[in-house]
Amino acid sequence: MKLNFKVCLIIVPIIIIGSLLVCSFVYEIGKKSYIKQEKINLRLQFQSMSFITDHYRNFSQIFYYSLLHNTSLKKIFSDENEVFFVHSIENNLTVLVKDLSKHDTGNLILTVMEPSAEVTYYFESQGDPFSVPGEHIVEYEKNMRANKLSSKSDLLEIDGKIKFIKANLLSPLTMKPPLYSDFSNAKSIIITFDMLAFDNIVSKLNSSGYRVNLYHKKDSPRPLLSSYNLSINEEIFSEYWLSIEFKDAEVEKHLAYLLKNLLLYTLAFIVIITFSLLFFITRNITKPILTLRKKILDVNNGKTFLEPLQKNDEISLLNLAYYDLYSQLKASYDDSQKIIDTDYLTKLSNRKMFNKLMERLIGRDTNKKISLLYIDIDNFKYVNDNYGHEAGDIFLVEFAATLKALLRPTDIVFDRICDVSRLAGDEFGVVIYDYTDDAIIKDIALRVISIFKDGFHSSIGNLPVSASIGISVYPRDGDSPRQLIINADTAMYQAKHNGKNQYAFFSQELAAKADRALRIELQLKSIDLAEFQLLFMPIIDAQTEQPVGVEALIRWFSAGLGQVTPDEFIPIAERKGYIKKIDFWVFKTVLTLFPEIIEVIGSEGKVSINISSAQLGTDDFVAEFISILQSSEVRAEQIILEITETFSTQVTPLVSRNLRRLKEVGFKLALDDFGSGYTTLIQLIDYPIDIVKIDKCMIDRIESHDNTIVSSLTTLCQANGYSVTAEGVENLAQTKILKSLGVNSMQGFYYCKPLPLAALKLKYCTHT
Amino acid sequence: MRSFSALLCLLSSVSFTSLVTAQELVFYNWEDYIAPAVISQFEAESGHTIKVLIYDRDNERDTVLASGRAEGIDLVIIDSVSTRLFGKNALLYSQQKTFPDFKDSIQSQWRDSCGNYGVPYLWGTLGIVYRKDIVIPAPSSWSEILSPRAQHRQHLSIHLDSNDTLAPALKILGLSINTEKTDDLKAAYKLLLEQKKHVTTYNYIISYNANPENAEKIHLALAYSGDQQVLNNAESGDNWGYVVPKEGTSIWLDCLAVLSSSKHKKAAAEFIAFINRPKIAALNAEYLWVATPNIGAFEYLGAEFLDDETVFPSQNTLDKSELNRQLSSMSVKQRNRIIHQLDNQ
Repeated sequence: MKLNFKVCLIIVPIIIIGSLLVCSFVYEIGKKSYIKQEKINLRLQFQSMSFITDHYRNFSQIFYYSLLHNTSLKKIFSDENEVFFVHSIENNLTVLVKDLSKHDTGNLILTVMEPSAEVTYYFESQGDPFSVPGEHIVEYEKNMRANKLSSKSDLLEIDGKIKFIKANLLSPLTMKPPLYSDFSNAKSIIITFDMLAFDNIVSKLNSSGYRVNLYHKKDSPRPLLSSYNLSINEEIFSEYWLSIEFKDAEVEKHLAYLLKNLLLYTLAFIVIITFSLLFFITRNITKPILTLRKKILDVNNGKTFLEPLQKNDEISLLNLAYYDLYSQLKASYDDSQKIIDTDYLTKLSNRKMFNKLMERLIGRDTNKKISLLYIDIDNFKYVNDNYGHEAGDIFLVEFAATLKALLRPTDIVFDRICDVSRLAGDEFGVVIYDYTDDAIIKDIALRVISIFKDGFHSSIGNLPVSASIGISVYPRDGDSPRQLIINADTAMYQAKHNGKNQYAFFSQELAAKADRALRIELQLKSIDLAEFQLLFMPIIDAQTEQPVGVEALIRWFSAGLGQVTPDEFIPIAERKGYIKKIDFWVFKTVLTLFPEIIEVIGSEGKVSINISSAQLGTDDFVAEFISILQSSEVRAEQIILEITETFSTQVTPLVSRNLRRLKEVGFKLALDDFGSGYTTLIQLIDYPIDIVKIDKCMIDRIESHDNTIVSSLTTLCQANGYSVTAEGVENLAQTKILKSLGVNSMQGFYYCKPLPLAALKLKYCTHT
Repeated sequence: MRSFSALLCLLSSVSFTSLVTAQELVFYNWEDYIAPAVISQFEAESGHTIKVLIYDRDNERDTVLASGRAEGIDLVIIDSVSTRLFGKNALLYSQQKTFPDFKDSIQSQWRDSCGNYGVPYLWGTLGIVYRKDIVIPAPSSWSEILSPRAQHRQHLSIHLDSNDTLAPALKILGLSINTEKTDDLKAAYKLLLEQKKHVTTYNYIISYNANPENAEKIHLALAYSGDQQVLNNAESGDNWGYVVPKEGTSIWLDCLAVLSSSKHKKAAAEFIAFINRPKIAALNAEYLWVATPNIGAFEYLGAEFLDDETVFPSQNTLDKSELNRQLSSMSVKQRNRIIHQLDNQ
């Protein structure tokens, strides 16, 4: 539109000015040719009138001579028997007159007059049969007679009409013009008629803008008024001037008409040209540009693709340029998109892409099932720690390839690149879409797990890793990618919890558990240590049955969650990194309460505290731990650090070193819950520990089954110099057996359940 | 009787000569104004042939005769007024010189009407012919053709004659048909201009109806007694009637004359004698249904003819009627101009 407007602004004035110039030029030419034409016309009119006048003169001559040679006229002149003449001859003459008068003449009048001016014959071809000869006829004849003229013809203007008059005087005897002396006896023949053709032309001319004047030469000449020189004034009929003028007003009227028409045509021309131009510009320039613009906008909005036009005009070239630019941009964009969407290492799609694809699938709004497999590599950290990060990367790449190969294309509907994604360091996601049976999912999960049957066979050797798989299903387990991933993650933890290299479907219980875990996590995040409390459980010497120590056990009475057991929150705290804070709190609290505790267990008694084995992998923990101790009055020898046997307490060189360091400082070390975990006997020997605490599950067995394991274990431990403590002792029988087996100490509900310090003091201090 | 035998002698000698030299006579006559039987009988008897040349206007005939172009014409039927005028001007042959005098055989009232220049042929009246089957009741006044009733307008034929065209107007105005007063003529002209609006043709009805295209157009026409017979004969019917209006009319007499320029004057005289035989005159009159002035003919005329008032008008009609008179040249000129003007416009 703007271009059109500009065209209007620039070209239209040019068209207008140009057209007006041409218009004025044409007008001048038109004017000249019109005036020239009118001049010719004027000349033609004059000639035609002159010709007509001559024609009438000739007619009058012929008429006269036919009369002269007609016997009837002779008889009029000579016959004395007038009655006979009228009765018969006159008819003859009348017929003759009538016949001749048909030649464009009006009211032909024949008058025959005696020398006495008596009218002997009068015939009028038209009008009242009772009329008499007009004054002009009588007068004309009289003049001739007076001037002794025998023959004369004239044009008379009577009542605005031009009449031709011809009069002849004849001697009645000879029928010849009279001699001068004979005029008194001469009879006259007068012919008059209206020059109809002449009159017609005059009236036609008068009514079409001409001014016609016929006047005798002896009259004063009539002035010519035409300012365009459109006039003619020439002799006619020997003694007359005939002037014909074309009136100025007519010329001006015509010129005005000419101008008006020209202007109208010019205007029409301007309008047509302008609109044609606009149409042309719109059709060939503006519209294609707008079309191109729209196409580009559409391309921008992802609605369509720009295609190169095959024509060779500027628009097509522009289109081509855009196309090239777009193609380059698109290629760059696609490349960067690929980079953004793809995991650099495994070339699988990344988490972002994974989410997008999930969204897209869900967005399809079909009833087809979608399953999300969340794969976490167990012990990946171990690979990284023991083989180095390069090995870890190699493992990830090879695992990705194996995983992709494993998932047959028929299992998924995605593009290849999208079926498997790397979600985080050692976490992978698989989406399975549009399947019929959950068995397929199970099958896929089992196939993945089977990869790790004997560890992972990689190019750098067999790696001791496995995979835990959590599975969530849309829409049952969530209607957003986020929810599905969270739930699959939850299920994955469940699988891991169940003992690695397993898979687990997400369930409601799991959800509730996960929910509680989440809430615990949130509470831990904003931890208020005041909600924690320490309970103490006495450790009884097997021989004396007196408390030789207490185990400090943490209890959490959360305002929002009620009682939260250590089983619940310790793993979360370990995972989320809150455990250090908790461990320090426990340690500091014990140190603070230590004087009171001594009242219960005696100055030689020892206080056990649980240390998260996860902490043992870090140097700063140990250092800080030692510094806390040193800032107190308590000696290291009075503290037993119980290390829980969990997966993470793999005895790495670092852990070993830290344990030794603690031991050097003077802490006693105890291996907690022995028998419930995975610690092998060899590993047990390798630990730089002082005490082994046998788990309740082993103690529970001694009554109903045999005591061999506990007995052997005790012997083994004691042989290695470890003191043995039995946990979970609940009845007298157990105490007896344990005593007989020679364990060093016992703890359990049989003796005392964990009690707040005050209660503990109350119990034992009154005892003593 | 003596003269009659002399005539017979003459006739026989003429016949004789004519047998020797058969001649063609040119007879200038109104259309259908002689019984074909008359001509054929004459031709059979005399050996001469008759060629009939027709006119349908008095004026036309007069012009032809006066112009000097009439040299081939031998015989002419001409009204009594013109006969005397033309005779005086030596255009007609004076019968006294050569021809026997028929005066004895002609009724006394017509005896001198043709002067010495012709023999009375037939006489009659001016009147109206009309279609008996269309114009009911029959017209009885000149007003019927001067201002015809609505259904007859544009069904009117008036022929032009300086006397007869004016006659109805003058009669209805109570004026003489021979009036020379300008005012009388002006009054009549005014009526004729009124009449002109209703006139289909200014041609003589018999000439006009001769054209089959015009057959049914005319209901009323100015005509002469006997014209109804011509019209009926031409149509082989009996649709046409004739009346003399109650206002009276003009009475005419036609003369049979020989032109002075004729080269067959003897044969012409034979024809005149033949046609004046009583039996032939009766045959001719009865055929044409026009009154003959021939006394001898009455013996052969039928009662129906003799009793027909269209042929022999009643005394009452005759009393109101006039004979055409010779008019002054001024009046003739005036009347001619009136006629021309009617024809013109």
